[in-house]
Amino acid sequence: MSSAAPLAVRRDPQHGYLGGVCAGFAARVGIDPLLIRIGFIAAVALGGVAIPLYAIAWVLIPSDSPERPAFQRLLTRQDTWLVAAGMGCLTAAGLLLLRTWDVWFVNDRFLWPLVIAATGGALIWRQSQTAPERVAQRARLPRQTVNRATAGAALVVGGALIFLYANDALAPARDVVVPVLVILVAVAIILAPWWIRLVRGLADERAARIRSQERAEVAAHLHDSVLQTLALVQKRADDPREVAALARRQERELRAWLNNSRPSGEETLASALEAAAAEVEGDHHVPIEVVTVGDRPLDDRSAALVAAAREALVNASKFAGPEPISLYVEATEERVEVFVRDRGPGFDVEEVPTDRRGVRDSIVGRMERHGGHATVHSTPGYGTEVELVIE
Amino acid sequence: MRRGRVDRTLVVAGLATIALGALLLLDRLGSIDLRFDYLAPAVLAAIGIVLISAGLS
Amino acid sequence: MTTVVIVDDHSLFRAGVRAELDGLVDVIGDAATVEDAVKCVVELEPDVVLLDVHMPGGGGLEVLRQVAEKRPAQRFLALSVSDAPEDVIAIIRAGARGYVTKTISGEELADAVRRISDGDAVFSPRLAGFVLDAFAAGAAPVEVDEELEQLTTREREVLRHIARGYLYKEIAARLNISTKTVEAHVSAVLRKLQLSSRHELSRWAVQRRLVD
Repeated sequence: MSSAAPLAVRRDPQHGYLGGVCAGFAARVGIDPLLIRIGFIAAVALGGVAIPLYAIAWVLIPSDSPERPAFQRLLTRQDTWLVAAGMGCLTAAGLLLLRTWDVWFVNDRFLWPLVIAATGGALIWRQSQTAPERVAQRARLPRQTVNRATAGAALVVGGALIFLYANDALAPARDVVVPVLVILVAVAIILAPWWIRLVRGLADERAARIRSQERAEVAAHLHDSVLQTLALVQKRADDPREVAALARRQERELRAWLNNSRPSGEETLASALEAAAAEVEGDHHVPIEVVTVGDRPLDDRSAALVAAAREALVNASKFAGPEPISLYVEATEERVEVFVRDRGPGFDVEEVPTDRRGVRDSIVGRMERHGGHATVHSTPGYGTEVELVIE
Repeated sequence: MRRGRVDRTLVVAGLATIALGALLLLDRLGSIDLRFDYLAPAVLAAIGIVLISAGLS
Repeated sequence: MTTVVIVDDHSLFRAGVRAELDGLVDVIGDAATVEDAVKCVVELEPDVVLLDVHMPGGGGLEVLRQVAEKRPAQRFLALSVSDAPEDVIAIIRAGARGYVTKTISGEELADAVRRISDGDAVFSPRLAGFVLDAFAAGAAPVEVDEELEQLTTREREVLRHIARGYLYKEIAARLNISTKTVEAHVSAVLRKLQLSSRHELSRWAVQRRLVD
């Protein structure tokens, strides 16, 4: 691991047995992985410290290929706790067996620290190897994620401490432990940048993916709506009224889409009135300027108000010519006022012929049935204004 | 990945039980001499395998 | 005739406004970028600048800020397709004397320009709605200059009429006051909007966008 190395060490899981650490180092140094493995096993046989070293290298060194060895795949799946406990049991079983056989170093001094470390290692492992999509999915449970990582770290550290404590009694063993610790710290410092870069790379990739998703969504929307409308506009170029209506409808849709933060499903008075205005505008091709002040939830009475306002808008569209109609809504807790104003010819309110009952029945009558009232102000030559109030 | 509708955990648990049972049977028949030193790891291993397979399914 | 500079990054739109205002006011220049706009306005000293809210490089706000350093008396009329409250409120608070949407007719626009050049304020119905909403009861903070934080009944009445689509002279007739008085009320509201210390104004605008 000379500092002059221009080439980053990458694990090579495809040619490795466990994490491909040995194969990776072999590829980097340029020798047969078998030699490295022999060295590794010799190190294990000598003091066992190579095992945690290998585990740390496995976690920290990024892999050069997406393919993972079966053993590692096992550890990156669901339900960390079960896997961790299982790993602990398996490790304990293996070590107990080794102890029974009196194989190399295995005795109580090593057994329990190793079991605890294996359990914690499985926890941390699972955590650090989780695919980014999975991380995003589980982002709503950040506390649980942190808890798992913390518990895993605690187990590993605990195992390491018991290990050290048990070894402290033996003076020669301490001489082994101290250099190992130094090497561990050194390796951690050396590998930290890779680790950080790896994590950052994942974050960047995720951000890029979100951006491209957003772009795709915008593009899809523009195709569905704006381009469609532009095509229609080109076809109807000879009908200015139709073109203006198309343009206005598209504008309204686009604005609604751009400000689409209104919680969907929850219909309010303002949104209902806006929808009604859009509908009337689409049917009658007279522009309607909607201004809303305040808002309130849509109940029976305000629904009746919306229906009456809609009727007033239709009337204004029919009789008031091409000038824009103004719809103004002011809603407070105790009072809602709606004004529908047009700039049409106007009429004398006293002389409405009885056969034109639409206004009276559907607007005034409806409002009165729901405990509100409607007033029509109109002067010939100055347009008409319908005032709807519920209190 | 999930071709079969088989519950893998149950299968693994069953296999582990069979293996343990076979061990005990062999011991009973005198084919092998089962001591605690061997039985304990075997039981632990069985539990561990079942736990891991439950965690992964 | 009133002199006007048009600042907008869309050349088609600049040409369109120029054509619509032809003969009604005197368009003496136009600019497409913040940098050009500042240079152009400082050089030509127009009566009114027609200012687009959204432009690359900081938008209308940046133009307002830079021109204000060199020519604090310059009058601006914001002209935008955006009706997001935070944009509108921000540009008014930065010193624009009015806000109209780009769908306004040429004649109305010329009228608004002349009014701005006379030192009055111009509120479109939508802006009037925003202001009424922002000054709505219940949002008033404590320990502040009462006068600046509230609209008078008359001002509220005038704004409501603007929001309902009435012209100034119609409002004057309906409220039995002179057109000048209507303009005075609107200018007073503009002043309150610009000077009001309530942080709620900006917060309100953002919130409104969130729930609107």
